[in-house]
Amino acid sequence: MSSALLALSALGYWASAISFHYNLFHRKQRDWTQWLRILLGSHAVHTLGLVALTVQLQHLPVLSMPEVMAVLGWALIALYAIVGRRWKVDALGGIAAPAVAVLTTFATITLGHETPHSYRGVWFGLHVSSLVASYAAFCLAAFCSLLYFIQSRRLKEKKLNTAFLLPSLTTLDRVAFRFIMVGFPLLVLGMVSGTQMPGWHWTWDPKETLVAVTGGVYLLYLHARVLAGWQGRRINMILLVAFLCVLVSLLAPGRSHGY
Amino acid sequence: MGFNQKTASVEVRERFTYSDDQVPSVLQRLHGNQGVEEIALISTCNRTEVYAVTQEPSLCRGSLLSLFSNAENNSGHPDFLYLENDLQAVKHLFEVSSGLDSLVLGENQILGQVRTAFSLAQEAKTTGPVLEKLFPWALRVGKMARSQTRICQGAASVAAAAVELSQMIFDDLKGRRVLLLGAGKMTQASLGLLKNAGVEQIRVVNRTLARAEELAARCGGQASPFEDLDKALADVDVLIASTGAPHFVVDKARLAPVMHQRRGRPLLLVDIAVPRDIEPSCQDLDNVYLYNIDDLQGVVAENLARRQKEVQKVLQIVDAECQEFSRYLDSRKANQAIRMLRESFEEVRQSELMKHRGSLTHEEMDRLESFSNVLLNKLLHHPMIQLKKMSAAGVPPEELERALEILGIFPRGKHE
Repeated sequence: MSSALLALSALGYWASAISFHYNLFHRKQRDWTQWLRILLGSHAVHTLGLVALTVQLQHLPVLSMPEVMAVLGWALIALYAIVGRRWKVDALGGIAAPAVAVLTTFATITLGHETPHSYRGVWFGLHVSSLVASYAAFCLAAFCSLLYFIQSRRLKEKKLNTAFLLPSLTTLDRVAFRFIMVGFPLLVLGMVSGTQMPGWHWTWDPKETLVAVTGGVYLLYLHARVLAGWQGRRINMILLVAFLCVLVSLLAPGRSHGY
Repeated sequence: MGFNQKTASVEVRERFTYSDDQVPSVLQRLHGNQGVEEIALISTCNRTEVYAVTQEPSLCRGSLLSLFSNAENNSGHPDFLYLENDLQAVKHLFEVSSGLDSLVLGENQILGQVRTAFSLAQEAKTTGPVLEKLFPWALRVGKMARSQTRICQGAASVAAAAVELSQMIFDDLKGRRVLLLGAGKMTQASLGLLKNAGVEQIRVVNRTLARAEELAARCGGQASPFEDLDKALADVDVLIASTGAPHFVVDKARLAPVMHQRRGRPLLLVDIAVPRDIEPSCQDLDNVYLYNIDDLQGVVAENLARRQKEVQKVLQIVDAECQEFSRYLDSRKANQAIRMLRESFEEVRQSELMKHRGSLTHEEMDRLESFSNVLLNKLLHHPMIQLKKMSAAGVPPEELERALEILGIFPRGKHE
């Protein structure tokens, strides 16, 4: 049941991604209505899928990589749906929709092959949920940076036909910063709650070390942005490097982690 | 009846252009003439057009011609004038409000000018049922054309293209700082647009400080000596350059340290000078976006070509609305026919009642009046329904009038 719902939502995400790119690049229109409907419809199905999965597993689906991918995709679209229009970055969906389509497709295919774990408890729940939420915010910030580079290149090359379809550079810069302001405290919360779990101590676990490095790179970004007042391409490059750290830390093996 | 920039030279246009203060008196003068039932006047720098409703076209035409006559040419029909009748006139007004007849295709200003023309005619009390319906209809068609097609999309002038470009970098110009380098005509032309876009501060730098101060005073900006150019460049978001210098005023070597000071804040450079003021290699610097006059003209040409492609779609809207308006006019005529039918029978009823007024008691008169009223309603019920049906089915008003003639009812202007 949960797999079928997740598969259906993955199909919906693919359809919305195709619809978005068709509207934007083929019809050259900033008409978001149709694809946004498909996206939100798919998200509703995705929500049902996660509820069914939770009931089926008897715990929050955050104990294996496929489960986390499914939850991360859900959090990413939820965050986008809440702030996308308000912060005038609807175009972000052009990257978010295919990215979530990949995540949910991966989750659908690999779900059920994982080994069960015995982690439980409040600190564990807080640890995983805040890290997943922070990663969703970091994803969207990285998508903003990516769009910044695309828009900047279009403006430099004077391809204005497509440049006017995307948000302005200052909007992308500002929104990326806001996502970091959402994601960074959650990352810190996730790290701190992890240290409160029974039996934890610092052992230079590769995953934990990489998460700490990731936090350091985001701290560097915040320092450059807030205290030194930097903007533009260089600061967006730091964001992309930081996101690379997020990906590496997510995929890196951890001695005390299930994935 | 009227002229526009295609049919009349500027010498002719300036002779027959009326200010908003003059329009009401002109309208009232023409409205007093024989044959003019309703009248409105659109007068802009590119057109003077008068829209009149009449039952007697030849008389009305003479009155309207007087508006365009002068000492040199006080008789006949001047070459620059065009005259459209009935639905062609309606279609023309719809095309005007859609921006199809404008010098810059799809421009928005004309919509406001049509609205003003209508308000002035209302103020002068020279409108009636037809113009009261026609002008709001035309305004609606103008809005439809702009919302349902891309006829007004994209900047249509170099200054507007510069503002549009800045929106791709800064979202909008509200609270932004702009530096005008040079006090040439092109710089001055962009001032109005910049102010409208909500620019927070305009700085002017010029070799001659006095000219910079003069321009700054005019736009409420701030003038700086040429030596402060680097300081100004570090501070502003947009630079519009149009000096008469024969060499580059801003080069890469000068701009690189400025960009470092700016800490990655994007800088839009708009070079509208010929020869150019900004070295093209400045574009290679991070966060610098440089556009010259050719780039901007390319944007404008592309936008206008795109607007041209939309003309057919707008014409379809105009034609459909014309048909709709024509149906409205026909239904109006059908209503008139129904009213005439009713009035004519009512007249007969009243005259027959009069004959019995002295010979019958009050009570008998009341009964007779009520009987005749019911009889009249019953007799007219079917013909009235039929007239409405015929009008809805698109039967021309002339045929409706002919149907009435069978009953001995003749519309105004026609005699037995």
